[in-house]
Amino acid sequence: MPDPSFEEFVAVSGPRLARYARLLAGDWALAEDLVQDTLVTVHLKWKRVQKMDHPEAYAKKVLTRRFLSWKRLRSSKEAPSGLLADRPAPAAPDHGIASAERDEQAGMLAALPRRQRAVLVLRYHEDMPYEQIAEVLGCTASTARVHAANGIAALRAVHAPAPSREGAT
Amino acid sequence: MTDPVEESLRRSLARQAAERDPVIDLGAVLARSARRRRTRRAAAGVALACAAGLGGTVVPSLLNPEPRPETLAENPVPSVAEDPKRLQRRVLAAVGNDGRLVGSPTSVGPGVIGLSEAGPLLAGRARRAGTAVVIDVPREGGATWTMSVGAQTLDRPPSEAEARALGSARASSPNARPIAEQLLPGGGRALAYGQPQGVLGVAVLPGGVLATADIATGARPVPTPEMASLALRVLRALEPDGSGSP
Repeated sequence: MPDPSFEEFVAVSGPRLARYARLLAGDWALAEDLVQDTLVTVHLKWKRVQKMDHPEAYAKKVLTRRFLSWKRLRSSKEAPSGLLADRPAPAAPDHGIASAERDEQAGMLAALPRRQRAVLVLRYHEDMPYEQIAEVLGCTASTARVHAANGIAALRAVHAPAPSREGAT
Repeated sequence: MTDPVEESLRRSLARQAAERDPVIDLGAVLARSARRRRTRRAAAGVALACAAGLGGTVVPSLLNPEPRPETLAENPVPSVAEDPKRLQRRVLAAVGNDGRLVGSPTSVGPGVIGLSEAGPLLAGRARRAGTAVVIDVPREGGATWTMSVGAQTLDRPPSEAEARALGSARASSPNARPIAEQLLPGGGRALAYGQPQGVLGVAVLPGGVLATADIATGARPVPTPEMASLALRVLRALEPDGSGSP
C-alpha cells in the first residue's frame, strides 16, 4: 500500500484531530489554531511521518504537546468560567439535561490544569492506557495516573452533593 | 461498578466532540513545494488563513495549484505550462501603501505570521517568484491597492504582459481593482492571496466589518466568526510597527 499523501492524511485524520483539539482546548477557535500549527509541523516532517505506522498518533502527540506549551496571546487570554458561551448542541431528546451536563462538565474541565485536562481527554475519550498517555505527554505512567486521579478528584468534588446544613449550629 | 463521575466525563467528552463538524481541510492546502522551510511555513500560514476565509470550504487546488487547462488557455504562461511545479515555488511579500516592501512572512505562530525585514535577499527571492502574492497593508486611511509583483511594486494591477512575464495567470484580472476598492471604500486593511486560479481578498473595513471577495470571480464568501478572528490576527501580525511578531 502506498504511503498516504499529506492531503489524504488531513482528509482522514483532520476531523479527528480537530475534535480532539476541541476537547483539550475547550473552544473551537483555539482548537483550530492548534490543528493548524500541528499540521504545519507534521507537514514539515511528512516524509518521515508518512512512513510511520500511525501518523495520526504522532500528530496527536504533537498537538498535545503544543497544547501543553501553548502561550496565548494577550488578546486571547483564557478566562475559564463555569458559564461557557457554548455553541448550541444538536437537538436531542434529553436536550436540556444533556446540554446542562455538557456545559457543566466543559466548564469544570476548562478549569483544570492543562496536564490534568490532557490526561483525562486521552484516558476517557481516546481510551489510551496510561503507558501510552505517558509517552504522549513525555512523563512516566505513574505521573499520568496521578494527573488523572487528581483531575477526577476535582470533578468529583464538584459533583458531590453539598453537605447538609441540618444539625449545624 | 462504574464510577458515575467517570461515566459522566466520558459522556460529556463524547458530546463535546460531536458538537459540530470541525472546520477542516486546513492542511490540505499547504504549499508543499516551497524549497525553504521558512518559506514553506509562511506559505502554509497564509494559505491556512485564506482557507479559513473560505469558511471551511477549501478548494485544495487553490493553494496547491495544478494549472487548469482553461486558465492557461485564457492566459498562457509558458513557463508554468512547461513546469507546473514552478508555480508552487512562490514567494510571499508584503508591501505598505507607500510602495515599500515591508517584509516577507517567515514564520507561523499561533495565528500570527512573522515578517522578515525587507532586504536585498527578499527582493531577489521576490523577483524569482513564479506567482504574485499580494498583501496590502495600508498605513493610513484611504482606499489603496498596492500590488507587489515580484520585486516590483505597482500602484495598479499589472498588465497582462507583466503578469505573464511574472508567471501569474490571474494577476491581471480586470476585476481586481474594482473589487479591492469596493472592499476598501474608506480605508481599512486588506489581505489578498494570489493564485493562478484566483485571488482571495480579505478586508477589514473601518469599524471592524469584514468583507471578502474572490477577486478573480467577484464571488463574496460569507465571513465566518473564525474567519474574522483569523483575519484580524493575521492583519495584526502585519502591522508595520511589528507588534504582531510571534
